[in-house]
Amino acid sequence: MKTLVRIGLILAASLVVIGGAFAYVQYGGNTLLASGPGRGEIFEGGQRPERGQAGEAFTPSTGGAFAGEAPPDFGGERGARREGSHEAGGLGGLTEVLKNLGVIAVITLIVAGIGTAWRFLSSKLRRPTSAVAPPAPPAQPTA
Amino acid sequence: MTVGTKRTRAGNPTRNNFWIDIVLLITVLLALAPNFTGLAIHEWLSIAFWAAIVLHLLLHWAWTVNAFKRIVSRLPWATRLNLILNVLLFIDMTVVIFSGLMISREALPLLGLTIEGGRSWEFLHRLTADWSVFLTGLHVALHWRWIVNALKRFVWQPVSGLFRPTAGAPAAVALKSEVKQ
Repeated sequence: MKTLVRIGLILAASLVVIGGAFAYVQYGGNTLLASGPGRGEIFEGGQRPERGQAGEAFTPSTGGAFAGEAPPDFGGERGARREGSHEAGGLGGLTEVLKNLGVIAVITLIVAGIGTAWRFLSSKLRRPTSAVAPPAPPAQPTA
Repeated sequence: MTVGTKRTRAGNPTRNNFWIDIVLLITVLLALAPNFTGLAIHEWLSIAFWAAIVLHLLLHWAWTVNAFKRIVSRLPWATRLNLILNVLLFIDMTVVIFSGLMISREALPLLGLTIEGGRSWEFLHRLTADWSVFLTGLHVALHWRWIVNALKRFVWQPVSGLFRPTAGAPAAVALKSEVKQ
């Protein structure tokens, strides 16, 4: 029962986060996506010039005949996935795993290094105060 | 006595935590590499990973509740930093998994659900996935000493023990043969 309550609390916290994500996508996500240079920002007056407007000769593409050869996989079964692609996966993607592992290792090295240096420095700073011996108690008269 | 019984029944909690955390780390590394696993495994692994996060939180429930209770009062800065990082990691992981579900092309369609996520969800998915690598790195780094100690205790010592001749072994064999006689 206790575990179920805890799972419920975790789910509730997740729902709050998901609600926030929904709000972000609905109200903030699109503005963030469009914030880069693009539509209407890099062209004067917000108008993208079209080819041929400034008096240059413009002949629209007629979709000329393709003279080359089709790529090897082109005639394959519809929907077939190429090895190593995003959808099929493959050993080529191992670099992605290694890259992420490398990032984690570098962060760990940096943080662990800082932690070790901090402990070393704090122990060095603490040592002189602890090295001072407390005053000796007065000698007790023996019977 | 009761504690001893509980320990025997549930096994060593530190060892359980260690192996679950190792599985979580391997899972997150695989889930963050869809070009390696393929899209279907990437999606199903991520859904399973969320269940593993819930398990991880349940195993560390006492720490989490104590840290939250004491956050307004005095709390060591390392614990405070750890708590903030863990909250960020939870938010990030939840968003990365949920945004992944919103743009799912394998897992949800297989269950008969089709969601038109759109580019905003895809953008959010990529952004939070990048952040999750960074936050996981920090999470591992902050627990590095515990990880090293656990590695020594649960991996290095048992493995090195296999190759070390035990001093008591011949004596034990001799004792056994004496008992038989």
